[in-house]
Amino acid sequence: MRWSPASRCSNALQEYPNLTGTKKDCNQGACGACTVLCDGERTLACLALAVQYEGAEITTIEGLCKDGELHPLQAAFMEHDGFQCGYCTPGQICSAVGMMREFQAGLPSAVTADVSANALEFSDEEIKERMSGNLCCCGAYVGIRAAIHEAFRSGVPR
Amino acid sequence: MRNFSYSRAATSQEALTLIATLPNAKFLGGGTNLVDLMRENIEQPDALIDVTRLPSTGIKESGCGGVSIGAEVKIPRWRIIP
Repeated sequence: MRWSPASRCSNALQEYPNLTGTKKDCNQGACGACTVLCDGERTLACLALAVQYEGAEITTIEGLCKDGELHPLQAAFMEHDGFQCGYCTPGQICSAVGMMREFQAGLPSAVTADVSANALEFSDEEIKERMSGNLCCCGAYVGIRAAIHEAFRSGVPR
Repeated sequence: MRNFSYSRAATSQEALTLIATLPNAKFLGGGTNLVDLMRENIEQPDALIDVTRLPSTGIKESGCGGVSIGAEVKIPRWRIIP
């Protein structure tokens, strides 16, 4: 497919009829519903020009499923009711996978008390801050945090 | 969004040459700010020069109490100082 320079990743993904998971909502980088992983890093597809990611590996919510099995974080979201309507869920899960990778790489957040600490604590406060770019209008945040805690304990991300 | 041209700079020198020769051009990093402003027609560049794939320069101490941060370094990576 060919894209004009102004086409964004969210527009490009909409051209693939089997990839309906990624949601475009606010279209201005405020809600996080369109979050995908570009070469493993969480990215807002609505503000990412498609041409910038030529050759990059884009993982959407569909790509997290492996050999017919849900990603452990997807299973944890179901177990802990990490959603109600589900519209923000693909973005929440892609964002959380990227967030856990950042955490495991030792990257601090705005609420990390000691940024020089080698062992960061994966606390509720850290999850709130690091997931603050993903809004849930149903208010399922308690379940979302519980799911992320469980997935992190079980050794995700893969 | 208005039409614009897109160029990807492979080296710092190429980026500087492009910004000097292309009229009304802007450098493009991750795009979170610039693309959003272009979407609202607040920024109206005729050309974008992508600097995200420049050779990595990372974060270096400048020797006078500050640090020099490469154009390709994303904000979450600021902690990793050699």
